[in-house]
Amino acid sequence: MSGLETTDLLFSYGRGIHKKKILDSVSLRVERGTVCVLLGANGAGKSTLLKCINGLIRPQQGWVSWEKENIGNWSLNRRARLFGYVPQSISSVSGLSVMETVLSGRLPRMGAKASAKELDLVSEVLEEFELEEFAFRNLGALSGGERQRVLFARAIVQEPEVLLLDEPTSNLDLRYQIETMELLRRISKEKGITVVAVIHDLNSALAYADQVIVMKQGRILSDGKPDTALSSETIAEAYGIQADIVSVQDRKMVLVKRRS
Amino acid sequence: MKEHILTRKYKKQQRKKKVFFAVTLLFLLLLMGTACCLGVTDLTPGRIFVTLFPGADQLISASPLSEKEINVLLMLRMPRVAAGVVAGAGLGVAGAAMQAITGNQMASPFTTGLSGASAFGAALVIMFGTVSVSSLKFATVLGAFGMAVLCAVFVYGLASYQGLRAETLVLTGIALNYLFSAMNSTLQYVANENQLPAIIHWTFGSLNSVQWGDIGIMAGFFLVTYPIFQVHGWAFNLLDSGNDETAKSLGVSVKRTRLLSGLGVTLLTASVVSFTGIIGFVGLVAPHIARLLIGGDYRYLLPFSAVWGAILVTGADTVGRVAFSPTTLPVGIVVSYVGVPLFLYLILRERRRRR
Repeated sequence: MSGLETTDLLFSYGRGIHKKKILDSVSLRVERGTVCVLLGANGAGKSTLLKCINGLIRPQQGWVSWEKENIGNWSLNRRARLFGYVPQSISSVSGLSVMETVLSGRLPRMGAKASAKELDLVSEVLEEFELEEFAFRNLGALSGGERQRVLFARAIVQEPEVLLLDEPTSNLDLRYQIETMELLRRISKEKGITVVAVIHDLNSALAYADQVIVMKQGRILSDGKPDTALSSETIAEAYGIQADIVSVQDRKMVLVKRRS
Repeated sequence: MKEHILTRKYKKQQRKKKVFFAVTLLFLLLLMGTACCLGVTDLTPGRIFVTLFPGADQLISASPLSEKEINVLLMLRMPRVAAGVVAGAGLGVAGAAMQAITGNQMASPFTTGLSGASAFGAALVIMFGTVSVSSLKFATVLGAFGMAVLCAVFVYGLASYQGLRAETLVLTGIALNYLFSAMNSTLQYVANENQLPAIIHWTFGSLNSVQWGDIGIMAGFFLVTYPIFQVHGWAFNLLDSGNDETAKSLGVSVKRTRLLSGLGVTLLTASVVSFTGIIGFVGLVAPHIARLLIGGDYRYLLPFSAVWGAILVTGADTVGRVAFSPTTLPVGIVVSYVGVPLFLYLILRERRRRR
């Protein structure tokens, strides 16, 4: 099996008794061209795991490999051509327009000046993301959800082989949430892009993921196909919440029990 | 294949920026010409033209310049204007680069403490330099430059321990600014009545004593450092948001960009300040004027900041020379009088347009 692999990743903050393990021997494997969803409570280490995978932070132990090759010594540029990364949210923005921001996704592959072909690619993606009307507006003038779509568009323009997304749907309305998940599924099937996404909606995970990994306190709690990895027990263990997995019209759904 | 409509719009916008840049450059050239003509000695474009082309006095009625007037033009006016252009361009582009690598709109070339450090270096030489009067100027320049570089080495060195993060850079710089300010005050406190005016005068920032040779050195530093900034245009675009991770995930080596550009800012700023003294405000405001006029893309912002820096310093110096003639006000003082109203006007205009 080929694809993305991490082996015994360990990452911790602080020293001595203040040492806090954020990732504790995390080993996982995501097959090429599939959608993997990372679930878990706040602080479970999901975002840190994404950053360790694309090298934004260095793990103290363990390594990441792509197609059986350890990428630990890859240059930033080579990593940027393999991984697209959509951060959680951005509070501060530069003075760039939306089009310039999306164009910056081409940076790992282009020189200082963008060719007409690159510009056309950017234009098409902007259109696909329904961002044309914002194209020449400053990124700072956009709403949170619109900004999130801009960052997603930039990662698509980057044409990565692996797409890492940190809560890509958190600021989006219902329609764009669904469209985002559908798009992730489509690009993984059509273009063979490997997707690793942190999301919080368990039902989206059940509906769109090929693989679900549930994390708790820096460790992997369960890993596998959505309907096996996500059970009442794992949900209780990961979130401390009582929930049932029910079948509705041939689809598995998570039904959270009311506490009162 | 037909170009996408957004592509066409984008290209049109880029062309517009280039035209706008050319127009601004033309404005600077006009300003330089005007500045050369204005002053106590009355030189007009017509008279300069007649002097350059002796036969032309049959076409326009103007008398050629006298020997003395040519001297005024070549040895006083032109070096002054050239110094203003080079110093302003240097401070302008250094300010833009500094704002980019710190991701901080309040940053200026002096953020890492260069102004205080160079003033301290100059003051040390003025007070304790046992050099002859003829080499005092050279020693002061060297003292100012050396202290500024020393300060920068300290700031960047310290920040490197923390992974060269923007906040560390800014905070260390602010701390050093206070330290040098205290040391300057100490020197001024113990200086005698001959030294004190010299020390304070140095901090005013003026183009009075800048000569052709000095301009050559400043221009040399500008030509060497400017390409460093320009090749980092895209990297600056990403760092400007203050988000290192985004830049890194797009393949930009954040540390290398900060170090190289920081080195460029230091050398350029130190070279300008050593010859002219502290001309504040330009390095902060020229990038903002540029930003308000052509947007935040550093590929254009950098050259635009340089040209606006040049316009501000040359314009302010000319005003300082002409307004209270024959007294000349130091450009370091006048530049705020000229720049603040312009800056405020642009901010207000921007607010109106956004609404």
